[in-house]
Amino acid sequence: MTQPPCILVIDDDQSMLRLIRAHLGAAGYQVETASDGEEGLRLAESLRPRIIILDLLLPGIDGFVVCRRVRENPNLKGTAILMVTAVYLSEEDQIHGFRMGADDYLVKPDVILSKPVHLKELRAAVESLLSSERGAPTGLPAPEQARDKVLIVDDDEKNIRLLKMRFASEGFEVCTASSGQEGLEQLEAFSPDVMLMDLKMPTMSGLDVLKIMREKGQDIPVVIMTAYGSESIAVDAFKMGADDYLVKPFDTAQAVRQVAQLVERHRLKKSQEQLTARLKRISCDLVNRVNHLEVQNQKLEKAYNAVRGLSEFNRRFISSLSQDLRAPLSTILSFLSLMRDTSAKGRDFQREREAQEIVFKTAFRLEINLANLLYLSRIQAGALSVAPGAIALEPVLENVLSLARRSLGRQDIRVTWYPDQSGRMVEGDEVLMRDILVNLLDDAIQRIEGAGEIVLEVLPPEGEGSGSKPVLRLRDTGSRHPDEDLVPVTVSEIAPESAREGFEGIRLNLCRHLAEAMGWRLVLSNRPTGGGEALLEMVPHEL
Amino acid sequence: MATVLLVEDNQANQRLFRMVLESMGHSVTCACTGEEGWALLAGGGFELVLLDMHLPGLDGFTLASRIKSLYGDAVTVIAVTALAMEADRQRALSSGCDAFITKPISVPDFRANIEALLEGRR
Repeated sequence: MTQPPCILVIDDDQSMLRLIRAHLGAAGYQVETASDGEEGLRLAESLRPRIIILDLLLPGIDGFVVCRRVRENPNLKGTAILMVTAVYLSEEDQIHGFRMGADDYLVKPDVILSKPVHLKELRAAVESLLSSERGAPTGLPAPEQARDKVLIVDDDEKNIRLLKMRFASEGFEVCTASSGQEGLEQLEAFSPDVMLMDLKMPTMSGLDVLKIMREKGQDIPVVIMTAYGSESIAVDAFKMGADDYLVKPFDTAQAVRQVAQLVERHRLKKSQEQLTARLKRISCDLVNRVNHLEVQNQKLEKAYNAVRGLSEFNRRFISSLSQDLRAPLSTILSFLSLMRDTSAKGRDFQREREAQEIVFKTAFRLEINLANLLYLSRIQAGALSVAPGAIALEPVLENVLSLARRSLGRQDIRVTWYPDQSGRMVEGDEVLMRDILVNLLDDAIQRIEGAGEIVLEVLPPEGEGSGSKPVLRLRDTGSRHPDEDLVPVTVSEIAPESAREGFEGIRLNLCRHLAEAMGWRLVLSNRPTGGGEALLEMVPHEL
Repeated sequence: MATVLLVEDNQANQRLFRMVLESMGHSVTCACTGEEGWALLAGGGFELVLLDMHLPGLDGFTLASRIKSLYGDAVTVIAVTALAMEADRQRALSSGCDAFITKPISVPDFRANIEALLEGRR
């Protein structure tokens, strides 16, 4: 069987002792009584009670001293103190009592109850103290984690003592300052949750302190205390950011309620601010994401356009195929129809021979176009092998030109070659270079109707140094290309803009690819005076 | 016999049409571009224009509608288009061409078409 908890009641009022003993005894507690402080301390030492119910006003040593002695006694560490006072009836006595305490902390009771004490209230406080290990403060709902910190600034020490006791007993952590300057210092050191401040103080007034702390961005709630009759100053204080006010003399319980409310309100405000800031961050984040998506969308759009450009390129390529393959085939078929025609009166041998020649030439051209098409598809499949080396221009050109002259047939075309006297060498693949030149010449010959001229020349590099490149120029007097057909289109650069411009045909496209494979460059244009011009920019061979 | 203007940029086809038309006894003048054809028409005297629809520069469709709006029925315009290009044929007719022939040609059919068209003019 466990011992019922022991409660010691120290009071000089015998009726009060009887009342409490009867009430708590009936509740099952072991109740002991003492009628003065000395007796009470002696009993406490021997009984080690769980709770001492202590009247503040006692004959001999008063409640504050008893409280302090109990706190100082290591044997009574487990003892909680419930102080009963008539705070509002004899304030002077209380102030006196506080002054007796050398160390403020030691005089602090666990709970303070005001007289007249309701027995129900007393019992609730006792039960609450017993249920907690050593007796937590219970006046207000006990804070769950850290205690709220209140800073009290007042030059009136009596006032400070009174408030300090009250707030401490209500579970606040209290810090005090007796001047405005000290208040500001404590504000930094103690970082309170709430501040209770007298307006009228020497040197630095409460208004000054308020002004300084608000300018610094200190936003803790501030309750100002004003004397009766100086409410107009309170208005000024509100303008400077005070949150609430108390007019002296005031009920300390009221002060605690107001302060507690303020702290709670401030906490709500803070969490609301945090929430707002978080929402703001989230919305910023969203905006960033939307922007990111927009960028992605633009990229997709670009890719889509590129694909569309590719299909446009394909369309052009196919239309070019129709021009390069279908047109000659159509010509051949038409001539064959003519040659088969028997309705003509008599045979015209000259006409027949001419038709045959045209069919032959056209079929030959068709064959070249098909070969070039296969060549081009090989390049685009990445199957072109380049064997770079030093090329002497002279022999290659002589060779190509003799081939071209043979394919001229009956056409009256003068082909002029201005030999390069410098014996310059270029860096490239001779086979590829031959293919380029044969096709460029063939293109010129095809465009020249009847008589015309083709002029080939190596232009010396512009300026000196390794950056300068020799250029082979081919000019002809043939009919002009449609200008749009000279815009290069390569599979690797399928920008939709250029794909729209047209397709230069299999042959010229092939030439361009071959040139680029060697790091050369081919520029095609129509001359204003008529005819075409091809500039083949080569890479010089460095010895 | 009729005077014919042939507007065609392909040399082989020029030779083809000239051969066939001349063997029929017509006189043929050739132009390689639409602009050249337009200039030759201004000299007058042409009854028939054989017009390739796909020419560099001034194309056949534009030239046909110019010819028809200036000369009306005085000049018969025959469009030459590639086979199976239905869209081109429709476009040729709506730009004012009186008839069309398709490449590659069948020489007997071509001859018959030209004769029928010239008969219709008389």
